[in-house]
Amino acid sequence: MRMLDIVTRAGRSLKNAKARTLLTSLAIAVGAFTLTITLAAGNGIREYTDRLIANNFDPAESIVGRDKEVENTGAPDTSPKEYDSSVASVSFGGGGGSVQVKQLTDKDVKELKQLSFVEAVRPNYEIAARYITRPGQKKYTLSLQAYNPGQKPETQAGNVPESDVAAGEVLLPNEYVKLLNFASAKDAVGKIVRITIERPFTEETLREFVAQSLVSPAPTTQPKQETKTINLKVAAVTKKGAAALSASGLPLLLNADDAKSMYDYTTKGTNQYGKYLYASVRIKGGENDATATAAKKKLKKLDYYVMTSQELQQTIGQFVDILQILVGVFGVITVIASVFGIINTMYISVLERTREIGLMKALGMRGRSVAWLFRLEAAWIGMIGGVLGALGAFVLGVSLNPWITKTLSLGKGNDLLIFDLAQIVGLIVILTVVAIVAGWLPARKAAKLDPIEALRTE
Amino acid sequence: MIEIQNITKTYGKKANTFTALDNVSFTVPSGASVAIVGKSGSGKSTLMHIMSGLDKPSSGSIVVDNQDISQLKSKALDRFRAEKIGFIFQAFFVQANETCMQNVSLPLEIARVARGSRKKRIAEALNQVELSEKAATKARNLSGGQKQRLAIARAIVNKPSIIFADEPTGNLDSATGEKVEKLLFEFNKQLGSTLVVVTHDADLAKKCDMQIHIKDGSITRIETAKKIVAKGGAK
Repeated sequence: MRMLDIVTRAGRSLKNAKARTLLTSLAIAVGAFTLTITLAAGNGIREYTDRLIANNFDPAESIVGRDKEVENTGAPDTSPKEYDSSVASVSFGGGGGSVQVKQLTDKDVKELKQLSFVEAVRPNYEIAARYITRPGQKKYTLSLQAYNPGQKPETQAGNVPESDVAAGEVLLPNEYVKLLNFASAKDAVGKIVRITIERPFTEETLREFVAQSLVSPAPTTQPKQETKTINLKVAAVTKKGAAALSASGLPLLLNADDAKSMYDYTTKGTNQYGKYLYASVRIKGGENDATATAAKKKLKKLDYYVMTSQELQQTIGQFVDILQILVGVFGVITVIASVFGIINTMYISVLERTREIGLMKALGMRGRSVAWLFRLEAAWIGMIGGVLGALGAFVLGVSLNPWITKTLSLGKGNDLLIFDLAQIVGLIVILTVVAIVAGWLPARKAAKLDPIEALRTE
Repeated sequence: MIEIQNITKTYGKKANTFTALDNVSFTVPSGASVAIVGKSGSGKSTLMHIMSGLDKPSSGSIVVDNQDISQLKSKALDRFRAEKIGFIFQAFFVQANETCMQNVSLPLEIARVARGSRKKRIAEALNQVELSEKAATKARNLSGGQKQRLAIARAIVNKPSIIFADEPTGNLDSATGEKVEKLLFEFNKQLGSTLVVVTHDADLAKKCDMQIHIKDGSITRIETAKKIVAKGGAK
């Protein structure tokens, strides 16, 4: 029998058992639905993270540090390590855990800057600022950071600089516009804000204080806390973009030199002075994976630990992959369950049509053709299920996308579920093949049927 | 011409051996009508299965048109049945869910006849059994006689050289049965295909050119109408 005739006959016999076909298909459809959603969500999340990375990381920039934690993407290593003066304690997680990290020093930064393949070095300044205010207004807390050109925030008013904020200027997050009583974001641009930082107690003042308290139990003079107020001009008002990686609010962004002098002021006399957890190092031509890897090799020779931008992307990508696999497993389990449904249905179909099979074989139909008749029947079931499931997922996904985007505040135009036609077609083809495999044993039974036995009427 | 030479068919092994056919030999001239007559369990159905290539003999040979079909491999045997044999069964075995047209189309599909030429041949076969108006009707909506006529159309559509009819009137009342019989003999004469009828109906058997009586796996008697002897002798 010709394949075309077999396909037609298989389709016809399914049409004659509509309810059974549909119900068996529905089992496959559930699997197809889950898998389509999983694939679509994977696409969406991947696209979203790609945008996140593009907005938050300079692809040519690597993170360089002296501690191997820089390269660690898993849980931090909290085991004791040899002490030297550059070790600092960094807390992580919510459980009050801390890890001892060897820091970069000014000497390291200088060394890095002198390397031929390094374009720029931006140490990570963690500035402990007291408050921000302006004349006649209340004081508010803040967080301060050096401006990173690879991580441009969105602007509400003014201009975000290309390479660095001008000295003495600041990028102000829009939250402060109202707090500091500006009329509008536009109004804030060009105005002055005041930031107060404080110098920690030096060893000397502390010693003095302790000596005094030994003499008189109630010391009259408090140790003096030295503070410094800096006036900064607002260069632009920034707002948090939809693709901002940080979960916390946007920091005030400063010129690199301003940031360094503030960091030095706030750490002077402590063992944090001139030490940094890590530095962002821009590699010449580091957008290229091979160049970045070569640079990493050279840096490792100098005992630095390096995570390139590509590696960071991979780490995030891996996380997405794992998430997708987890959800995908449920889809696959559903498909496996539905395979048994198909096997069962096909066995019933073979039993029901013993006579028909017997007749066809008596009339000279090859066992192979009979087997294909049933395999194709199973294939139809798989295909119908795949199409139904994918279609259902598509309709639901497209209609839910605006709501999901709003609820997860992904930003306008960012869809969580992105359907790819080629993927869906591929999925349907795979499900069809799975159904054919499921129909294999029943089809074999049909092919091996003895026509004389099948046609015996008793 | 069908030549049956020393056919034996046994089932089971050793002590449990059952002999269904015991050294059966006869010859059927081309275009003749033959009745295989016997009670149930006599071996007549087994004989028909072996003659039509559905079953293989334990020993002996069946030569159809100078070809020993007992030596054929399963693929060639399937092809032999698809191209040379038409079957009619007591229980009709028409596909209730399919239309008359689809039912008659089956042997053509199996014999890999091109789609283009099928329609004409199906229409012709349905016309010959007077079911033209029912072409698009599902077989389940036909009466018993119509079903058997549909089965006849299915059997003749591929112009087989031998038609096997296993108790073709067994499930029909005598009036419809007669009509079916008439059709069968008509095609036997018109198309020149050999007709082999398996029956225990003596009246039907008498209408055939040749009657082979079978009992407990052996031929007890072969009756031949005079005309066939003359015809056979002439060949």
